[in-house]
Amino acid sequence: MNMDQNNDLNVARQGFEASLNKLQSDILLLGDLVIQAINKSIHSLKTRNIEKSQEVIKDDDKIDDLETEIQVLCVELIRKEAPLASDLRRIVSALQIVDELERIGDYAEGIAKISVTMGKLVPINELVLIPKMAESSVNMLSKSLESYTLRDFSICSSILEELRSKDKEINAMHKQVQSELLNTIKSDSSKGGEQATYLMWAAHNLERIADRSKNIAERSLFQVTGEIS
Amino acid sequence: MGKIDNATIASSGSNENIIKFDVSNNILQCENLSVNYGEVAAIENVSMGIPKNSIVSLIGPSGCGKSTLLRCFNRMNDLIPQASVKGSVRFFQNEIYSDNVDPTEIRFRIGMVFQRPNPFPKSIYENIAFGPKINGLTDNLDEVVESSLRRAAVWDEVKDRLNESALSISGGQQQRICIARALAVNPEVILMDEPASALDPISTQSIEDLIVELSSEVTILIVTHNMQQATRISDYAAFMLAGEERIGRLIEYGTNEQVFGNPKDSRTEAYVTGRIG
Repeated sequence: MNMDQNNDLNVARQGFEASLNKLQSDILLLGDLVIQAINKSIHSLKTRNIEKSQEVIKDDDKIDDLETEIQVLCVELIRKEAPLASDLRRIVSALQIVDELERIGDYAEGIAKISVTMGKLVPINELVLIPKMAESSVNMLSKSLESYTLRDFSICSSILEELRSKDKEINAMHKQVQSELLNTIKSDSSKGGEQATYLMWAAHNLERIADRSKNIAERSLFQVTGEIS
Repeated sequence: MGKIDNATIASSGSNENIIKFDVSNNILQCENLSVNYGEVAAIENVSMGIPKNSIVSLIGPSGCGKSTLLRCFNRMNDLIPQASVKGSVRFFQNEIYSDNVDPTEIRFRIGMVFQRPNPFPKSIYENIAFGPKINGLTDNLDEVVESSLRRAAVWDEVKDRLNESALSISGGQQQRICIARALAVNPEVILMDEPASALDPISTQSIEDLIVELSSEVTILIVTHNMQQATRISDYAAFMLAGEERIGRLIEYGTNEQVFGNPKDSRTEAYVTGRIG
């Protein structure tokens, strides 16, 4: 069913409709907080700004709180409204997406913790690929949230295709970063090797962010088709 | 769900939102079925097949013709003055509206359970024995009564009260007595018109459990306004809707997953999500 037809018929259950809209805007707000956390954690890793990293760690509580709030709203809507068809799919996908976003928030927090652990150490090399991975991951996350909002089969399918391809690119970047950092570890047994180990974890977190962004695009398509992939 | 896993879904015909089964697997089949009450059209051009041993829910807003359609399947509309039926209803490939068909026999083979429990003002035993006796069965009546009550999952509750009035037991028990009464003549189909709408949640649950259990041996068509109930118990669901001219039509007929999970028609979506009706 297209959304125009749906709008014509939304004459009843206005309270429920308002709650579903709130659910969507809360998820977008959570997505926004998570994107800010990734950007901030990478920027502070790159610039060795420990205070900013600590802010990311502290702000993760806001992400966790909002996740809980959204989950409570979902459970309440299921309990009160006994949703079916598109309503049920919206709530189920919201529950899945909120979980993905919270985990992405944890990965950003993890990068911030790595940054704090590394302290004021001057980077072994200028960070190039890791910020690039972060940029691509954030881009994937934004696209997946766009897909979630639009609820259109052709757009959601094409975004998912695009993100699957982007995910492969990020996996390739991750391998490259791993290989470069492994070389550093092998050749530098002192502080450089230690830093390289930390940075490998940061790259791993970014690779996982990309995976979970792709998951969000899959959940967004489920919202339209009802098919679990 | 979808018990008829190997059902051949034939070409979609004129309406791609209506599931089509291999006709040889259908216990009931109606084609271009229309019903008028006097000059007033109630339903128009309904065509659908009911696969054997399935549970099919008929859903839709009040006045869309669900009960009218249900009654067509065992000629109960014959009892309504001014009702006229056009089109075809086949039971095991036999036209039930043919002149040579005895409607009483059809109603034994296609039983009916109504919204409100309607036991006869007789003992529980007599209620169950009534149908078999009319059919000339006088031997083994005790056995028939017991097995019917067992199949309707009410034996344990009434076995010591068989001679008490059927009106003296609870509403949920009365409804299961009515189901047992229908089962006593070994029907192949049971039509149920909102069988749990007058019952409390526990009794409703026991009726739903019973319906699912019975479907291994009996085909069940059920009219219900309870979407959650239809979702819980049915293999297939048919959505009917009356337009401005108040004539009921079949809008969508599909698997449980389709109708309640991802309906094809926007009107079905609006109904099952509570936007209309």
